[in-house]
Amino acid sequence: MISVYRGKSASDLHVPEGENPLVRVRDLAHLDEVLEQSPLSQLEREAVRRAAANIERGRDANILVVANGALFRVELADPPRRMPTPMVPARNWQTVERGAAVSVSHPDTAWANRAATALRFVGYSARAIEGGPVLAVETAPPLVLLAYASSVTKELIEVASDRCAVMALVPRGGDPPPGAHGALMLPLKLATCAGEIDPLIRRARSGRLRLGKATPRP
Amino acid sequence: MVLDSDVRRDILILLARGASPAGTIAETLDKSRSGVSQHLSHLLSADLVTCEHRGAQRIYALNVPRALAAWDEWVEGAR
Repeated sequence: MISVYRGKSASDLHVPEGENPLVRVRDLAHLDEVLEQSPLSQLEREAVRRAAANIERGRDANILVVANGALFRVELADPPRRMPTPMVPARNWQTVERGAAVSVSHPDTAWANRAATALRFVGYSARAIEGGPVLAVETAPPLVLLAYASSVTKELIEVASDRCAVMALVPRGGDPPPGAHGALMLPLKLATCAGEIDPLIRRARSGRLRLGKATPRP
Repeated sequence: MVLDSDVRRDILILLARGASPAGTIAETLDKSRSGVSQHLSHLLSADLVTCEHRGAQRIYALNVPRALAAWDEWVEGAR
């Protein structure tokens, strides 16, 4: 809605309180035709048109003209509020493999710790790995190791493949490294983690990570 | 950030297993009842949990979509 008011003096550029607008149009497209039938002077109309040029289409505003159009002021209303995006209830966000051992390896140890904590919320027995993932897999292999893509090396795959599943943490725009059993795209989205990790846990448990070579794990 | 508190994170992890009264949460986490109540207030204000009165008890439960979004934000917030 665009409303046009006539100010009382050049020293007070505020919309006069309690006063009805001289012109009111639903949107800018209709302003010109309504202006022509308004009690505004030709100079005031010109001022209103100049003021209107500063108003974004679809935006509500008050236009104040004073001193026969020598001055004008635009008061923009608050931008239209966007309706909040409804939160879709997450389904299957919790793991069905509650308590399964999952480790997180990331060059940013703080990130790894946070991700592991978040994965505990999903239901895993998750921990962050400090130091190299190869050593961690050799000493205490989890069922699934989430490892940052650049650390998913041939050596890691060889060490891990019959001990645990290696899931690459792939940064935005990156490609999953070859040899990984799966990939999680970053940034991490907890709502979908279980859906990605659980099948690998089942594969690791059933010894189907490398057919014919793995032995089932408890 | 609400999840910067390890107690609040532990509360959410606990509530992920099911709704619970404040007393049980405090007992399970081995924290004082008043301390846990304060943390629950923070979580309520952030809309990460809901509270339902059942008789004399207040039962707290996860607001799952909000909680998941908060965890996502918290994990990436470290970077």
